[in-house]
Amino acid sequence: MSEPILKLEKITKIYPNGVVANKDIDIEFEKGEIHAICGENGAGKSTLMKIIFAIENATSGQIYYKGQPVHFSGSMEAISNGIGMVHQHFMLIPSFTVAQSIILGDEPKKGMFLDNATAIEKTRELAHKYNFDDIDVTAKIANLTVSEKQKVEILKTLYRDAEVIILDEPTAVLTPQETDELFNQLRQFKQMGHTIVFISHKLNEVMDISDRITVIRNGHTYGTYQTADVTMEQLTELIIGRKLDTDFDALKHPVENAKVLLDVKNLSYKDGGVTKLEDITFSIKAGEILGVAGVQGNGQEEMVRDITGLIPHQSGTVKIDGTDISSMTIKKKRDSGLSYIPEDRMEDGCTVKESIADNIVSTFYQKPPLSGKFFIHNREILKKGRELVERFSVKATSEKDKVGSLSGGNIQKVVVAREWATDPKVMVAEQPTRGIDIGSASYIHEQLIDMRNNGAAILLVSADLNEVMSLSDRLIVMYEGRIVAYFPSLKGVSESELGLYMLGVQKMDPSVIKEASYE
Amino acid sequence: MSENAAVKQKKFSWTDEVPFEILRLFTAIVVALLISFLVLCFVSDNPVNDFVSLLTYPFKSPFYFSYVLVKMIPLVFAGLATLLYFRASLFNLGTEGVFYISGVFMTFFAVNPLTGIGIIDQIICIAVAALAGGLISLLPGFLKAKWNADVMVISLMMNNILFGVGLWIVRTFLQPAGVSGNSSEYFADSVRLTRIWTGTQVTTGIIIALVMVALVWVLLYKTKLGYQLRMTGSNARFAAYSGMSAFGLMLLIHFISGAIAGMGSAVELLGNYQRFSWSTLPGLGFTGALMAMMGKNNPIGATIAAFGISYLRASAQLLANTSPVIDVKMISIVEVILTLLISSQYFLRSWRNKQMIKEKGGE
Repeated sequence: MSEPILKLEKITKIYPNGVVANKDIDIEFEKGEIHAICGENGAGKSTLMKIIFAIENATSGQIYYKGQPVHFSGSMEAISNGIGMVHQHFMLIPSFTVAQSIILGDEPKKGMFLDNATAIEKTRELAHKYNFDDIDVTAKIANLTVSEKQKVEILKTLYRDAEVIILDEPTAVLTPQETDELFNQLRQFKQMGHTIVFISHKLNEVMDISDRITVIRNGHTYGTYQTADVTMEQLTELIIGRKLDTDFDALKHPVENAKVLLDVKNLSYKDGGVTKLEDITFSIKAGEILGVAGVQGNGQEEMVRDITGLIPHQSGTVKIDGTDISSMTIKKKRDSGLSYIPEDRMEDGCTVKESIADNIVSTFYQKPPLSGKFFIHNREILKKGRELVERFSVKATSEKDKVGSLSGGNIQKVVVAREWATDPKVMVAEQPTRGIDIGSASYIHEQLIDMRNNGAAILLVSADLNEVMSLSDRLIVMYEGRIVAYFPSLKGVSESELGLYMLGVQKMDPSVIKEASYE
Repeated sequence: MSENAAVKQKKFSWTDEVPFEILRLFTAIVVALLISFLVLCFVSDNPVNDFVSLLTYPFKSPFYFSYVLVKMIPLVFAGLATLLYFRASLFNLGTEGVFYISGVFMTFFAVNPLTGIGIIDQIICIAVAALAGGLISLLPGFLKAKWNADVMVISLMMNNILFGVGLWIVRTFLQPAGVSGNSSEYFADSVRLTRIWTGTQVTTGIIIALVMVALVWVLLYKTKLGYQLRMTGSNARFAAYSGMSAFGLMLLIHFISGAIAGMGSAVELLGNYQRFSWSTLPGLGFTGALMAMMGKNNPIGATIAAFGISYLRASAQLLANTSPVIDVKMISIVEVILTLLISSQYFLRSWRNKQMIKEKGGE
């Protein structure tokens, strides 16, 4: 076998706060391969990529590039040596044109001045060479779609002659159609001799695109495999360290005499004159999970925040079990039977400086036996904390631990435990498993199903199509603040079909969408 | 206990949160004292002697020691008022303005007691001062709750306004005719707090202060309000999401803190003064902040901090009578350095980081 283009030897990274992100990582990247780095969120993939790209320094270990030991002093040096990276969050300036963005930092000049004509010509040539002809190099970044922005980021690395291109979770922001297109382009880059490092936790995509896979768990490598030699199941086991049961339908059982618990009618919301929500109407019965699919930023956030009271209600009605809660305070809404797992668990869902017990009772600390008229009963609060920590298998030394000392998955378990504990009629779960490890995520999924089986009405909002499709009983798709599709059952519905609605290519007839409400 | 019991028992380490904070605090105190020693080296012929005196003088006689307790009382009240603000993430430094104005209002009742029965008049005086302090503090509280105004700016401005208004009230209504200066008439004897340690100036004020420490501790850790305060203070968005109302809480905290400052003012005046004669602000805003910070926003911690600082202040003041070089201002150096070091998030942090890397690296 020829010399690997990039080789990592015993890379270890310990953060100043003591977190061991990577430990003795050994990986070899061959020239012209698509090499996937697979692992759960928090396994240490992103840190490793930052070390290769010299955004972070390794605590110890050695990187070899084209056979030579290298110590890049910063990402500029990594770039000039032919390593490019497309970050999960794009680093583009909205007011620039595509051409300007691509040449930024390496501009063609005419004397002292920027040579715009050459810039446009050069970027156009580049786009043509790599089959990105659909990109208009004179368009403003602000007017591009997410997938177009990603293409600009890729072109940026190619403009700087990147031989190794690192893509950090590139499909997280894409629809299924866009993902397919990206994969075709990546295969083409491979043909042209580029090495692609593809970071993802979506196994089906990894199996589809990569030649080889390296699995990272808890900062350690768990081997590099030929993609053809491993199955999804084996890979899952390697990644999470155990077997996983994903058949949720088997866990579900019907609820008798279900009545409508959440009824949303004509919900509209404007933010500074811009319409964010228009005429949202749906209802959910006891023992039902209604999924909300959609590309992020199409009104899901406003809908959830309006229902839960984080933003002031404007128009329309929200009823829980017949009671209009639309203009109530958050406390009254919660008293009426609403629970809410917020998207931003660190800002809304917990306070990291306080104990697990104090965090886990924040929505019901004022009720007996946790407190009397004036006093809180700390012993009862600790008892409740301990109970919930055990019930939800939160990994902590004790319920007195600060929430900030827990991992993301365990913090989310604390949030879910608290929202579960009030035995809600309606549960709004917003991105309930985003950014947490697969083990915790599947545990939380099971808890949601369990609540559903016990007669709660669940509104599940998620950018993860897999999640909404596997958990929901019924599904709506949101696009630009409206419901554009309604599926009374998910049997036979494909991801790509949903993709068409998510992108706004198709819309269902209003008479079908009306069915989302039982009235 | 299920799997949680299996999680390994933690070994003690100086890099853990609580030991690290204690280490940080002690290092700050040592550094501050060393710098004051350095200053002494410049001004004193016998710096070692003077330094030792400074650290031990109050223990030379019971009277000297009692002086520490006397000095400590207003610092305890200021510390309690400020730590409640800090707990709620409110950087209100207005304690000294409130001290001043509530003392002024109390003076009306101290000069002309309502009943003539000592204990009842004392209670009335303290209650008036507490009420005045609480009500006045509602103003920044309201501005914060309603319009999210910057409490620090408002409280600092209010200090000057309250001082000006207070001084005007003293001159216009409280000053005896034909007397110059800015003093009121003498307080009635019956309202003066009872001495509880013969031969010293220690009064029932110290008991009131310690009772307040206990009450604030109970408030913070045992009541629903305290729970709300802690949650709101550590993450306001989380508290709102959980259904707590920030508006009422802001007002209530301001009222309680203001009332504590007012009480402190009354206790100080009735314990150590013949009449209202403050012609400057008592300087308790920043000192209160120092108490709160040194005590990690814990009422007991703040009390210990108040003892420490008043120990040094009392010592310096006593020594100033005999030593040509020691002055109370020297202690200001210590206080300023302490404030600086304790409020610096990064002080000793790189040491901690290195230690932690060493520990983890060995695993």
